[in-house]
Amino acid sequence: MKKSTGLKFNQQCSPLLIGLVIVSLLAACRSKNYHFDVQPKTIKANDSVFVSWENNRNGKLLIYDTYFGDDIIYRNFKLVDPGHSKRVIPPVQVAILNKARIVFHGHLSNDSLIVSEQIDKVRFGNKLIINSIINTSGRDLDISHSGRSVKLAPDEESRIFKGTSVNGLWQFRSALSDKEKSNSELIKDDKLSVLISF
Amino acid sequence: MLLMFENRSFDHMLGHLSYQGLQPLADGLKNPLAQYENLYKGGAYLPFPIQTDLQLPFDLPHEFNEVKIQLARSSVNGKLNMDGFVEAYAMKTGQQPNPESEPMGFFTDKDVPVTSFLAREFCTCDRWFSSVPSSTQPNRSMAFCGEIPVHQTKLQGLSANGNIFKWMNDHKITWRVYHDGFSFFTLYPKLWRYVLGPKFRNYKHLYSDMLNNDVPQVILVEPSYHGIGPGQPNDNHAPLAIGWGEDFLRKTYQAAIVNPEVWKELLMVVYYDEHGGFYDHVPPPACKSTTTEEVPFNFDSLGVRIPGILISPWVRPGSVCNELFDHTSVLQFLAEKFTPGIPYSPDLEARANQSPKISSISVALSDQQNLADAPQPDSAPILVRSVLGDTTCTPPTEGIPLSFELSARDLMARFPEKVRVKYPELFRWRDELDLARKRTGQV
Repeated sequence: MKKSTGLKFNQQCSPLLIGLVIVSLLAACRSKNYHFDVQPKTIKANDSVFVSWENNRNGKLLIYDTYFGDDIIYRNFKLVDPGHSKRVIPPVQVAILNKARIVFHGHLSNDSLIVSEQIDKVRFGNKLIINSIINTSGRDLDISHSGRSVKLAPDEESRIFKGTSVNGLWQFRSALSDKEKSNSELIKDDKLSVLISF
Repeated sequence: MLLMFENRSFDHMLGHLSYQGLQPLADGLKNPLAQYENLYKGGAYLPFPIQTDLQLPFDLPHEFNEVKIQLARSSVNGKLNMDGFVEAYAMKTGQQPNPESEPMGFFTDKDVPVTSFLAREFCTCDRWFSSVPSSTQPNRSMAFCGEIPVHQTKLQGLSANGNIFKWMNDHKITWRVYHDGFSFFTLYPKLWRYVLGPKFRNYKHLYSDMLNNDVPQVILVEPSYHGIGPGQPNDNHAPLAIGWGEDFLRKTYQAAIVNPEVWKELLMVVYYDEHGGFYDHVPPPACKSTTTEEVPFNFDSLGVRIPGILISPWVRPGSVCNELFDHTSVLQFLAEKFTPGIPYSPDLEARANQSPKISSISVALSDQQNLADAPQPDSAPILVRSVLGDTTCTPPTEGIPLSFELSARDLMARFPEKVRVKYPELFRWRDELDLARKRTGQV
């Protein structure tokens, strides 16, 4: 039998080394399997995350922050299992962001570059709500999401998706220029992307 | 002197040269790192400097089909986007990738002090690609046989046609292999007579042999490979931490420079068999290679870029060579040096002369001697934080460690006396392994 345990962490803790949290992890058998996860992987400041694990011995949960550039904080969760100290349990990172880029490779369809994809539910969770969106594709872009649509020029911003969840299906369409139509190798970059502020 | 490590890409090991401004001429990583983003399910994953050299949770994907995902050829413009490393990692491990995903990590000079030192002091080759976009067995075979018997790594004995040892013997070139652990060449049954012979010598003799001028024309140095035998693996194969490999590199370099008479004529080549699943930003160029399998397999490009460093008084100090190299560039050089006018093999020559042409490493050499006094690396101890996981009692499942283990057991069964002399540690290792597996029920 395995036991599953969970903890919620609020984000009001110390910014550098949040703390060493010692949790008793009890189980009745000596299973070699383990589960350790933190959800969601992307949050805003003050959002909570849910930590879950299965284990059969006492463990320590180490939480610390690392920084990337000026505006990205990664909150690192590491389960240290003294019972299996030689085992590497993959640490889990949560990004604390005010904005995130959604980016996909486009495909050719008739005279357009198109995308129709679900974004990663595990990474973005279901709590991130859109405030505004900027076209970062470097070309005109039709964007559809949550039953709403907008056409944006490069670097143009819109609030048409305000209040909708980041999660779900995103559809992009960008018309090819005449030169691109005649030779698709002239399409320098096949990526279509938007920058979302929460 | 040839020293081939395992499974790291150029950007992973040497991308810091340009990122940190230590060697701006090298085509490594530069700010903004967002220009190198990898894509996975709508998310962007950027390269990041590794904070601490630690053992990774997993090995990274680097088989042919996985490399294909990593290279990410665009269906739109046909270019290699080089942005599928995280996707391949997620697919292989079944893990949700962290924002700082393992394939995207790169070392700074702090954690690869010896590699960084040698790259800055001597010649960094920033267009050295692995020979094919696949894994260890095809790439090492190309490096040391000049042909590819298989297109991916599996549990298999490899044919050794065209091998470098026979070629050297045929041309009366003196050679020796210094092995720190069990030799990779045991995976080639035809080479067992060499592996168990006097020219394969324990690594511990390298320094004293160099000091005493007991030096053949060609030396191959083999690290201790991950997944076989006792002791500390130092071949740098993921998921290993890199520190043991750095220490091994420093010891080998110190042996290379210990005797000025030997050093003044020496070229030490440090390279990697393939990228091991780590990110690199330079798309490999087109190159047709065909395996010698019963059903030949065709590769249409070189593999991912790897770190290559040429260490010699005959390179320009602190230089960067942008010429296109792959592992056969070493074989070309050996042929130029020891059999002038006669290529290593006609097939290899034809392959090298495709467009773009694959050069010999001789193009990176200077016509005058520099650095008569070899620079000394920092002697500070290299700390290695490592864990061994369950690997000591869990039987291997992947091609290389499984092939290694079965080759070792086969050799011990067939040639117990010779193996007892050459690799005495193997018997104890086998007994301990069997006992550990018996106790854990993993026989």
